Amino acid sequence: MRRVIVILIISLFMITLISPAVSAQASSQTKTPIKHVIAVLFENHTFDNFFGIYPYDNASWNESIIRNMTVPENLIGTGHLSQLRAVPNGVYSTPDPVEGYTAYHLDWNHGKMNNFINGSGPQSMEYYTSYQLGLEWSIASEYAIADRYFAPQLSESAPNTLYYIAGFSPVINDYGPPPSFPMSETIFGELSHYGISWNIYVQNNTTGNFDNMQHYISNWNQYSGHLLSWSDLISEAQNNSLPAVSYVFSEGPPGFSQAPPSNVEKGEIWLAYLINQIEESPSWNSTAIFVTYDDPGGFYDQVDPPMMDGVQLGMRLPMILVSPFAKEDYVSNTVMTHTSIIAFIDYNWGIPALNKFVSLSNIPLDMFDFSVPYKNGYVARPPIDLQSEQHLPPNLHFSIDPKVIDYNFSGAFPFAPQYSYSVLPYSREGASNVTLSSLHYGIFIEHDISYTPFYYSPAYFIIIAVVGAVLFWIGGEVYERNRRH
Amino acid sequence: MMVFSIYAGFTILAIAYAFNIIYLIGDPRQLVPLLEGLIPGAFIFSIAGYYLRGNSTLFSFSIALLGVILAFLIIYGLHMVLDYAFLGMVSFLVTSPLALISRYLSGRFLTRRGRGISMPIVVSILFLLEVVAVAVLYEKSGQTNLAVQLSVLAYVSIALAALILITNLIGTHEHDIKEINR
Repeated sequence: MRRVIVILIISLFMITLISPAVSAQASSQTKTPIKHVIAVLFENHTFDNFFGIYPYDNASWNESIIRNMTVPENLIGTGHLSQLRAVPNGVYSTPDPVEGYTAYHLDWNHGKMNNFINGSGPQSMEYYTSYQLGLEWSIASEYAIADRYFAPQLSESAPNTLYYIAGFSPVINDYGPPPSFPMSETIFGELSHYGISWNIYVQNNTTGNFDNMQHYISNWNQYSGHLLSWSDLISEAQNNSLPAVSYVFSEGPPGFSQAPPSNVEKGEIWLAYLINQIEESPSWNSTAIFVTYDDPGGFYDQVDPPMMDGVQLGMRLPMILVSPFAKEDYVSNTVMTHTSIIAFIDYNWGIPALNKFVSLSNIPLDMFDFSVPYKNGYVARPPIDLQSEQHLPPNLHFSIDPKVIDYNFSGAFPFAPQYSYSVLPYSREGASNVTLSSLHYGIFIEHDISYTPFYYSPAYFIIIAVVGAVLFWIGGEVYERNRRH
Repeated sequence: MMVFSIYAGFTILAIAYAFNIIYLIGDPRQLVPLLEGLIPGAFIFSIAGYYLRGNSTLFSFSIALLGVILAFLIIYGLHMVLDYAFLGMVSFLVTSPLALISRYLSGRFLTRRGRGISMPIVVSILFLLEVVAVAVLYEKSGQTNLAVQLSVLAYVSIALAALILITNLIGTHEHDIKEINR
């Protein structure tokens, strides 16, 4: 009998070990060597707008590298290129296309992707080249880029950014808040619940603002201590005290977010500085940096976005993964959206999918190589000193607040590969369809609930209008009676 | 007239808020087609209301209701994807309550000689200035808290309506005292 009890106890213990971590216990263990996820959010560019002709560069210092690079689903050879204008050398910004639910739906035109001029306007039909983006392209070529990463909504900033932090949106456009929802429905709420550290970083945290998202979170004040500055992020990286999850918002001061009509090189150099600081820090060996854009900004993209769990996704966005475990020169064809980053976080820390949409989102696992070593025997890639790349403009100064911009980066692209492409132990293009649902992770929030106070609801305003009409009517009748007398 | 313009502005903005179109005033480029509908709508419906002052209230009420219902059908029939032509049309239609407001204003408060057609024109201009003011404030606030602005307008409108009612009730009271003393 004692033997049976002992076996039962051991069995129960084993089951607890192997079952998905749905308990509220803090999880310091990770499924991968990644101990720090840094998600950097820029604004308002499609994949074709920034990477439409990547990696083509007729002014490159080394075209033979380019000839051997992996080519994503770009505009070259598609016939679409002739309808578009390249941003000329010496120009670093474009006019702002019309944004919004209506404009993007007109652009999309039920999947035909042929109505941008009537939707977002003629200014949507432009694309950048290596002249402006050679530095960002180089970062992408050193690491991994996704060419099937879509905005979660066919709309503008607010709903897409809400998906980025919460995996759902109670608004379809930028008209909120209200409604609002509790912190528990965001990835930050879930991380807090499981005792996993996190912070949000903005340029100036004293304003209390992070991309206006704090207005949507009803109990944000309880968590406002998690809002830190970009400088704090760099200090933490250097001190090896980064939290598990860091969300970095470029929005706020003009220029950093790359949103038109700002100079795209300001955000580009800022990003390179940020990545360089992480690469030079002791945190590098256990960090994954996801770089993406909140919404398409009204710019052209050729790919008809698919639907996911009944949700029509928006246009393709650039998404770059920088990590010692990111595959070199890798192009991921995995269909992803902002919730794929949340899915990776949930996967990595072994906690349930934030919600159903997250559970159905593909996890960007194919962009990583966690197991197959390079020829030197190591799996983790050593840091690259981006600033020391010899083909960068000599007067380029990496800075958290780049003042001198307007460089021609075409000659700097691409950076020399860290490993020769021919000896890489993996394919440089691929896809995966691993989701938290397929891995039988649980779901943290079964039903997302948002809340609009009655006094801000349309019904309330209509009632007030009717009450006002009744008061005016009675006042008018009394006035008429007085006048007749 | 100012009082009625504030109320008219609030009512039309409230309808546009319920129809999820008024937030478009935050983008200067979308404000143009909105104004292309609101400006003629304001003048046409308010002048129509003025000329209908002798007719049954039901007639101007029907115009107002029909305009709002048509706007609703267009918005939701097109799944809220309104190009500039439809946006202009919808914003034109949501001003239809001005027909009722203007009719009532002409028939009750402003029947004295000399006011004439200037009344609906002034109401329309004041209404449009209110919309532009809301648009500027909305844009300046980073396109947030439109509901707060609307609630301020709601409270001002209700307070003004109550004030007019009380003022007239006091007038009635004084008139009754005069009648008793006579």
